[in-house]
Amino acid sequence: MIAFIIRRLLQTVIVLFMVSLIVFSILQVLPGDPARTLLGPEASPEQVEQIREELGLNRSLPVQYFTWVGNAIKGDLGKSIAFREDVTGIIGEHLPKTIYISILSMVLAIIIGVPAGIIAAIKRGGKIDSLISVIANFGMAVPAFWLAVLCIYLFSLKLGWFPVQGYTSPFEDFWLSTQQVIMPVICLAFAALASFARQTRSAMLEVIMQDFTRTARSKGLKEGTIIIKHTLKNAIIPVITLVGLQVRNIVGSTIFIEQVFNIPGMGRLVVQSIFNQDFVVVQGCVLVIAIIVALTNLLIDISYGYADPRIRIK
Amino acid sequence: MTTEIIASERVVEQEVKKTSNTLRFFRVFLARKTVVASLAIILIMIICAIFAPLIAPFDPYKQDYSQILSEPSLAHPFGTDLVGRDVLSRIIYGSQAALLVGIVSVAIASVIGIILGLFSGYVGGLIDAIIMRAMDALMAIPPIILAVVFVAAFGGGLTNVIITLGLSLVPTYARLMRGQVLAIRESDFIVAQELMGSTNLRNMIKHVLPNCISPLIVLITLNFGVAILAEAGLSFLGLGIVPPKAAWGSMINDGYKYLLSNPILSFAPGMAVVLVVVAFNIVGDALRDALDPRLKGTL
Repeated sequence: MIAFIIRRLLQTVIVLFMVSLIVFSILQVLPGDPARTLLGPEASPEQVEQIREELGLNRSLPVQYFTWVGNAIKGDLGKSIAFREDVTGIIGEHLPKTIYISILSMVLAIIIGVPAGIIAAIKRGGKIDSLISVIANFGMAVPAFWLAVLCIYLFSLKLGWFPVQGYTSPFEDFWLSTQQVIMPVICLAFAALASFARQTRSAMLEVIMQDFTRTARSKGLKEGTIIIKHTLKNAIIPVITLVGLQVRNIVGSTIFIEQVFNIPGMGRLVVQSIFNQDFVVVQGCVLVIAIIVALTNLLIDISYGYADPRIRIK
Repeated sequence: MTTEIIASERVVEQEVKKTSNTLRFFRVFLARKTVVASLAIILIMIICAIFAPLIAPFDPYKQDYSQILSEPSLAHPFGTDLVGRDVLSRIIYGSQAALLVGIVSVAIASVIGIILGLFSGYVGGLIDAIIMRAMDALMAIPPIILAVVFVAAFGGGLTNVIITLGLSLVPTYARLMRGQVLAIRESDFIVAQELMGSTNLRNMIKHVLPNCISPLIVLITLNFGVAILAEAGLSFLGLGIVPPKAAWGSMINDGYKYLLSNPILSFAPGMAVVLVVVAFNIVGDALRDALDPRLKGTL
């Protein structure tokens, strides 16, 4: 087990190294000279040159890369050009909001999606099964931002149940915060929920068809016991794998949801910074997002190896 | 004489087996009405994209200031937008961008992914490790964020959106192919060939590719939907297809500002996205069930 954890840890470090290379090289191709963006169009060439020197833009690319990574490890992601603040500080301000709505969405997707899949599998071929499969098909095809537009129209503008947009910290005003967060969380969770329902259903069906389920049945065990003790235990493994994939998708979708609902999180920060040509911030955001995704996947893999000893070997 | 009869019998036998396989495929594939309906939707979309100038009732770019934000009517079933352009015509033209992005980006992703996966699995060792970790790294960044950053770096527009989405879909194909290569490598006939000293890349490909056709077809079909969704997303953020060119995502965003007075402006193009993506997903699932039921749950 320890060897397995160490191996996965090493792999994650290598993956993160590659991520940093990808992020760094993408941003080398970006248009515009950061020094000029910083100073504005009226700056003299000497001033631009001086700022380039200060920002280290005159040094060779490998030197720039290692300085950037070295600083990033120390927690310094550079200075934002538009906000004129430390990128780490800006991200620290935006990240908690994204994490808050993402965790809520993930929990919602799991506690509704997995039971829905189980019910669909037990009642396969029936009306409930086809209803769940229709909803799941819709969920996997609907763009999160369009769902958000529909929700705003129906629940905010027509019914007036929830505020149209905005974000308040739950520690500040819990009731208002919850009202504001309900629609974004549902929109964010919907696609993941659909995936969980589908994956759980097909995993359950697979296990139901296996010999040990039949043995359990022929022993005369109650259907409920079979589902909970035998089938579910085995079917849950592919569902756990899906959590890793969905973390990525939910965090990715925040880019739309935060835009539509005007939530000042990481997704909105990325889009804003692209329009501001503030690429130091974009660089930092993508790196932080990738680290979060990679670490969550590491945790999932470890718990997975813990649950299923077969995984540890390969 | 006898050998001839035996030979011809064999041919007949093979033909019967072949047709029954094809029959089985079509029987399973077309069993459900939803699949037939989905194929119809995809067909309509393709016809719309190719014959847009003939089908669209109005010029999608013509601004008509006497018809600004008009309600749905017989002439304009989905109304008109803020500069008086017919929404239905723009949706019909929007299918061009969606279809083009879907086809070309998936083609790019599958070709690069297949080559990388084959190569990685075949060569093995350090190169394999490097390629696969690079794929892991690409997968650690959410695809839509990767696409947004790519577009920021190389600029928006149709070509860049296609390249961007193509690249972000590569890892799935590379992983699939590599897995197949590794599985085939273990098989007896390749080991036998190696023992006879005749293992070369061409042989490998000849044996690996036929085994991958089914999962590849399914993956490609499902990825059309993924690419169309992603294109809509990029255009929604203003980072995709450049206006005034019609794209469903940017139409949703444009209409969003008039949600209270003219909700149809946002609803209609979104409906188009959902219909098309649902159709591709259903067809992909049906293909999987018909081609190879064992793939269930893995793709």
